[in-house]
Amino acid sequence: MSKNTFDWRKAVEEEINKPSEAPAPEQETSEQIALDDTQRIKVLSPGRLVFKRFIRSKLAITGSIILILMFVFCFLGAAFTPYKESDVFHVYKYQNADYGVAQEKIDYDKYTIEGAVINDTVNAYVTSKANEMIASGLTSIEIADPSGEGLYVLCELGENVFELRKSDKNQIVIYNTSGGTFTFSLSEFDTPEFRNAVENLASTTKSFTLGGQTFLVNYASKQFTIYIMSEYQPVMLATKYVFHNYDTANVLTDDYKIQVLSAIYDTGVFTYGGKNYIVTPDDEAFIIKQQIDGEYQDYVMLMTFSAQRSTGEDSLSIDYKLNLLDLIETMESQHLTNLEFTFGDETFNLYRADLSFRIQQVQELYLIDIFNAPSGEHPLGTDSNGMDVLTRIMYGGRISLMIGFVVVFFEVFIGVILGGIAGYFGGWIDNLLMRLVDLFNCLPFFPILIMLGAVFDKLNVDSYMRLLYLMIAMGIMGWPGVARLVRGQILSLREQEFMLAAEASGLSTRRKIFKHLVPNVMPQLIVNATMSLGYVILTESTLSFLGLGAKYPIATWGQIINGVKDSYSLLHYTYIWIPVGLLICLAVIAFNFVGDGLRDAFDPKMKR
Amino acid sequence: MFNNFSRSIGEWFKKVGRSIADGFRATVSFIAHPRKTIREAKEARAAMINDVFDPIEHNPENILEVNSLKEYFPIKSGFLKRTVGYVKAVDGISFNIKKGTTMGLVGESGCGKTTVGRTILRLYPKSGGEVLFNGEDVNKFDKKSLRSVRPKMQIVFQDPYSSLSPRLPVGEIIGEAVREHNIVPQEEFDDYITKIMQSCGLQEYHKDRYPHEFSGGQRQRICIARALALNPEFIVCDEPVSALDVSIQAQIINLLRDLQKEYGLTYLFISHDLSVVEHISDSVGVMYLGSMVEYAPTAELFANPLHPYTEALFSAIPVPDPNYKMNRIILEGNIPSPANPPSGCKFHTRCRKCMEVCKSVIPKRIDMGNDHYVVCHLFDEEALKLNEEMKKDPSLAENADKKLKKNMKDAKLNSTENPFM
Repeated sequence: MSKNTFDWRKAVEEEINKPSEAPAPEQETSEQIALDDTQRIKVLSPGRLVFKRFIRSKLAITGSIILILMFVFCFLGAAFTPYKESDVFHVYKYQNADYGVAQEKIDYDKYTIEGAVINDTVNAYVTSKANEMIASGLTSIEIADPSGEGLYVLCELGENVFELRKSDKNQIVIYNTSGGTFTFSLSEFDTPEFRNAVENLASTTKSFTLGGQTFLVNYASKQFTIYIMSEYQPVMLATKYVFHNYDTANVLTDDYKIQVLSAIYDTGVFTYGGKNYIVTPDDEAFIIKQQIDGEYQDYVMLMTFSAQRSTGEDSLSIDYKLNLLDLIETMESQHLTNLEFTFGDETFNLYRADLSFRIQQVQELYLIDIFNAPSGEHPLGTDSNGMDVLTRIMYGGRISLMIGFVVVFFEVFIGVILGGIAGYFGGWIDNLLMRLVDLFNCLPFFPILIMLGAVFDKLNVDSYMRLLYLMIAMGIMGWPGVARLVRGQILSLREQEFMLAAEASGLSTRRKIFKHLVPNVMPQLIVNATMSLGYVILTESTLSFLGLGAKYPIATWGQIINGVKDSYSLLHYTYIWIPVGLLICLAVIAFNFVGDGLRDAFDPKMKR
Repeated sequence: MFNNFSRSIGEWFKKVGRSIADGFRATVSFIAHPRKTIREAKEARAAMINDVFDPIEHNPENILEVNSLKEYFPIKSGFLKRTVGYVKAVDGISFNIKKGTTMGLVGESGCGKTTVGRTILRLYPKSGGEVLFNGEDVNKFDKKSLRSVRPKMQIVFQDPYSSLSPRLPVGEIIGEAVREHNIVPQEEFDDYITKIMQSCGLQEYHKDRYPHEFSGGQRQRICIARALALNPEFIVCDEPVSALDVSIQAQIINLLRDLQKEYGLTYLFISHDLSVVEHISDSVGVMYLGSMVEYAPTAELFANPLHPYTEALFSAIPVPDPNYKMNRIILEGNIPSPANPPSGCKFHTRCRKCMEVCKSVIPKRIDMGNDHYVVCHLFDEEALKLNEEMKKDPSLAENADKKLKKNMKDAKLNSTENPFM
């Protein structure tokens, strides 16, 4: 062998030495006119040839420029914006908020004396009967009790204060006419006169009088039931007066209020809880003073005027209330509907609303700045979370553009390995792997991702991990296409004679695969991968729009559009979705342009 | 029409049923007697291929010895893809090539010339017979030793376009196997490749170019350079010039001859172009339908073609003389299918000198002296006698037809006689 090699090389050297002598004289004449290849054609490797053809395609260059600008915009732009991806912006807003309500009292507050039982119907009649009394000038009026258990009388104690009194009906005797038997519930009435009077009753008699007392009679199923009415007792107080505390921290009990109301038209003096109080009339109002250390101090004011905060608390000071009363009087006299006034340092607005008066105050609100229209601060406005849309688009672009590369990497990685194995080895391995590909092609893409999304929601998966899982899932769903392409290519390349030549040269399997097969598959693979980049961006946007992809606070283009998915937002917040939508369209179109350009560039039939 | 339809459906069902039943039976027998089943299957396959031959003794003068080489491609059909038959691309071919000589292999398209070349190099697994390269059986090498033997026997392909990888520069195409087998030290590698390229008529600056930048002739030179770079002893030239125009053909042929003279190469020159073969070969084998019908030194064969097929073939050689009247023998009909070759002499369907005996009896090789061998009944006295008997008694021919299978078994013995030893 080695001897043979030696001969061989020696012979080759001789071969070279021979022609170098022979053409030497010709050189001078032929050098200038010869069509020497070295001078004529510039040598280009297939890669550079592809690049040259690619540059000549206008669409491909347009696509590349769009992509480059997009990458600069997303990756460098985000570095220059003053905002962060998930900065939430706030805004101060001023608005007239309801502060309080004031009105002249027209209904009655009712205070039931403890332990008293009042028939509901009677209770409901109190206000109307009181108004009737004021209109007719009566000082007391009877209120019928439909149940017949007692008698009610409403008395006017003084202006705006009414007292409801009740007389209970007590059963004293039951007389059975068929047996002539008496059953007494009160033994004091068991006298011969009374028995005699009962025995002589007629069935139509409703009442009878004996010894100055009136008895009521009820006759039913051959027996008389005799009742006597007790004395009238006060059970309830009704008043238009409202209790205004001087000290707003005080809380008055109903019991105390009843004491006050029964005292004002009576003695004017009362004791409650071990303290002495005195009532002083004061121009349509009463002031209750409390005795503290021998001196009387203002404690409560009674007026037929109420003023409350709109929250329902009685926290307004008595001065404010009196001021309000004056203002309302002024408004009534001047027939104003609106009046601005100042109390303390604050400005209020008082206006009439039907019978009551509303107090409003200008309030400062600290709010999240959502759906703000484009401005100098936010060139594309803010979104539904109060984040700057332009910044979100930049950060979202990073993920939306990168997700394509990651997914395509997964796709190509799995696809090339499995497709390559299937194509190179063929036979049952090929059969098995292609059935696997068929299986994956059968899997419905969106339902599976929807299920995955639901599972992630349930497990509270972190936003970034979720995105990674999504990318892996999309890669796993996408590899069969790549595998088919690679397998087909390798199947056809395997039968080419240069593979047979490689076999005849005794090259290793690894070298055959990586030096001969893979470089020949690369062009189609690159074109396919570039095309699917656009598709992946589109899919990711769709998934994020449906809420299955990236989640708040991560921004992706689809997620930004997700913020405006109802018809109102679509119509009114166009500055949010139109720029992102355009960017998605542009990115996909640009990737397709580049893919088309690459396909044309790799096509050897194109002229160079 | 409906009858036809129903009948065809019935047949289809029968066929499917039979196939399922076969599969079921095979599975059951495999489960019951796995070893027996496998042995029987192997025997059945061996019977179909009929791979019986006498091993040959190595003659040190010969670089290549081919003995009863068979290359059958299986025909698979049916639901279970069972092998139902074989395409007999190469059907028992035997020849020897002496060191430093060129053997031409001619025949019409589809007769199995290329398959012979590739099977010799073990690019296809053989079905039967043996190939000795320097006395060693090519098919018995394990993977490692096969790789070490590969550089010594090379091949130049017919199509210079598909046989070069489009994405490798020419220098790499020529040199990758050189580097793989460490034929020259690393520091001499570049010079070595340059020398090889120059000896094949390529320039040094072609190294960095890619195949698509070359013309067909240049590509063929690249292919030859790739084969030569491995320092081979034997090259199969598989129609290396048929894709090229005549001027380039001459260049390549002369290049091959020059290289042979310089390096003492041995060629198996496969071609359907007889004038090229005449020009380059020392001896020529004529193939028809997977078998060799005639073998002789070039001068002897061209002067005195014996087999009717060779005669017909040679009558088609154009003569560069407008006044010469060609006496062409035109073969009728197409070449028969190699999957189902005719009985007896394979050529009898198209032979103008066909006799009764040719239809049923397989011809033997006849030594005509001068190292000239022919496989034809015309030159076999016994066969001629048999033919006379057959003329008198047609039943003999019928019997021969009926006993064909038996004869075929006897023919095993015939095939063991290596016609071209």
